[in-house]
Amino acid sequence: MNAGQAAAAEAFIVAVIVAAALLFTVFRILRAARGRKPSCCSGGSGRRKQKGGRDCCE
Amino acid sequence: MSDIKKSPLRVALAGNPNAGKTSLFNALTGAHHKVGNYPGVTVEKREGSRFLDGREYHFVDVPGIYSLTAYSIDEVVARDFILDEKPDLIVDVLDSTNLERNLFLCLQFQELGIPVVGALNMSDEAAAKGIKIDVEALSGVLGIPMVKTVGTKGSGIIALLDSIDAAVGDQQATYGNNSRPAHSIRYGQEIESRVEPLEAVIAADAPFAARFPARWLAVKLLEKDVNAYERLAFHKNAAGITAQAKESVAWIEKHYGKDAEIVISEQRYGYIRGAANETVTQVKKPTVSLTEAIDRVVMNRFLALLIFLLVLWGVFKLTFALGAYPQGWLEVFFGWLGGAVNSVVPEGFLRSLLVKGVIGGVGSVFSFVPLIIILFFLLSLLEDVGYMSRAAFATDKFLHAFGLHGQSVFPMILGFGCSVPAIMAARTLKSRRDRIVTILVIPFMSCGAKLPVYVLLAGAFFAKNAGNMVMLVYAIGAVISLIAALVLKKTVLRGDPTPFVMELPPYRAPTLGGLLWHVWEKTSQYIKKAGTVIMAAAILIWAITTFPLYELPQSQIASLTTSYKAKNANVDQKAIASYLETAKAGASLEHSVAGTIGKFIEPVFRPLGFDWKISVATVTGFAAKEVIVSTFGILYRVGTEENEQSTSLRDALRADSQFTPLVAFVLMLFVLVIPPCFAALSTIKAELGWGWLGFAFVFMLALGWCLGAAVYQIGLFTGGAVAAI
Repeated sequence: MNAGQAAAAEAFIVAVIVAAALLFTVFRILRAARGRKPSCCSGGSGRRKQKGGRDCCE
Repeated sequence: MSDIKKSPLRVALAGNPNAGKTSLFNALTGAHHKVGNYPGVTVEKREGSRFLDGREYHFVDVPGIYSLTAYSIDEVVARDFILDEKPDLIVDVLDSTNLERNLFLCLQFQELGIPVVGALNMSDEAAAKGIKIDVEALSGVLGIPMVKTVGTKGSGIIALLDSIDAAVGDQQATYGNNSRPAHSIRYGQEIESRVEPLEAVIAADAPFAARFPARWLAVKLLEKDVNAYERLAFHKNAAGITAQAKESVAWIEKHYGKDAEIVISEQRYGYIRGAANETVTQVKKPTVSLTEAIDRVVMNRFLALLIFLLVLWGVFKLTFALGAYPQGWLEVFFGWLGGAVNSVVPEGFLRSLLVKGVIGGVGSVFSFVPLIIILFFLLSLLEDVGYMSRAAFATDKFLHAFGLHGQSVFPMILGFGCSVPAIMAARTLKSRRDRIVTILVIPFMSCGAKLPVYVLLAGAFFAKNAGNMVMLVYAIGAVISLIAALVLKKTVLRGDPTPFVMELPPYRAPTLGGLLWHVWEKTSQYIKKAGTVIMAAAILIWAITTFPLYELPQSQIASLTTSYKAKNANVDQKAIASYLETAKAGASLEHSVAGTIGKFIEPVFRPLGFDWKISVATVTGFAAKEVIVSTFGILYRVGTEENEQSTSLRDALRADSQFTPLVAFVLMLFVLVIPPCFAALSTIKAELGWGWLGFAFVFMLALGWCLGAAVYQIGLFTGGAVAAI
């Protein structure tokens, strides 16, 4: 792999990481806006399955 | 075994507040839900299962209630579950040290026609107090199987499960589905002459009676229970029964000369007293208990408030004093890690992302983990020992002056940890108006996420008095919450506060396991947040501070070099290179996306003394307050080369001439007052709806800006008095 290829590969990896972070952030904001209970509410183990198999924390 | 025995059972775990339901639930299901030594820990129902001998016992832990007449939202949750979802059996968790009061609810459960098993919980504490309960006799008198349990130690669990099995079997065999339990309380000839006719007309509508037990409803109608009248609307003869019930209430009140609800309550307590006289004995003369002895000092009318403030001061002082050492070690560790990655990964975008974005951003947040651990340990200790209820009483009178009351204290103190459970804990407040005011002021109680921001800024700009400065900000938050409550109560939420009646639980030695579990729960949430939300934010912030790439024009480099040499005679090449490097980094940052956004929003924050860098950090902090720290971690490192002489973030902030102690203080106040993170906003929306969320957002934002601008301008006018602290 020459220097140009290595730089392109590095840029690609960085772009993927940034895109993943962006998607994750947008997903979390949308989830909060929908009113789903966030993970920082009390009782990490207090998850239970609701009807339809959706997880809901207490 | 029969089929009934093998079918899964849905069991409600109900009882008075602070009777140990959650402890018992944890012991039964192996869950680790929060247990606290104060009433109102559970504000929602929780579910968990236990499998034994091929049967699934599905337990539902409901909030504590004193009676089936519900006022607050948590009580409504409990009542509606029991009445509408009809569990197969109710385990009534009874505080053995306070049996007579606890049996009041037990009798109401019995009237529902659902099998009931009594768990005589905290039986070890009752024995220690010299209270001897004849379990068999009590079961016989009330017609309810009773089992001694100790939820915190997990004792009596198998016996309880056996009793549940037996009780369900007996119920099926003896009563069928809708008939009245043989042992349900009789209210005396006069009242029964009114209950029984009502019971009969209610039972005439069979589908309705299948939903709501006729006897229970008849008694509730005579108790003037509003919800019972609402439920009656579904009956085909609702109007006739309502008229009959009202006529009966009038008759009872005329006959007894007092309120019908009181008459029925007295009958229940009379029955309970009779049962207790036969089955409960005090074998040891009660002496002044440790709880009473401590309360004589802690709850002294002149000292209580002072002691409360001292306790809070002690919690924060200890947190900062003990936390400073491991926090320093972690900073050193992340510095070393950045250096190590720097030497392993070749120069380029990836190295910059890892060292400045991930390690710089996330590491700066991770280094606050020790403080979070200590703070939550101390707050959990206060909860488990039983001091929280005392805090509520100690502050009740004082809070009344601001339109709040003692019950608001639990949620407000929980707000020091995280606003989300604190907002949910406000469900215990009976008046909706009190609840709204409490929820709106909770975010002013600095949560764990704001702590890193305060500690960073106080450490950088008020090094000599960092701990006191952080405590000052906490205190200002509490004062703002009181003033905000007063303003809200005088304007949009006018009305008198409701009376506050609450029992004081005894002081209890906390279990180490329980304490450590609480601390782990909170700390793991913080670490998880740092590793997910904060990490993603840090990567994005790195990207917007790095791109688009910008190269300083050669002509500008030449002019910078010339002017630097002119100002600094006999300067060497190394110093010039370092100067140019810093200038290039600054220019690159200013031309990045973050720089462009920062410059655009800077005018809005100018009156608060914030430059574009602080403005960017403030905006990113809306997602989560810790992100402000990681944004600084990235903004003040991007464009600079990491080496052994790399300064800490504190030093980097201090080196910025725009960042004065006054600006740091204003930023702390701004962070304190502005709307909380997305998670907390989402919880406000869930609890109060979009309207109140919008109000809270605008109210906090406007207050934050006005307060920040006022303090900055006054600070400038008075010559930076803050700098002298």
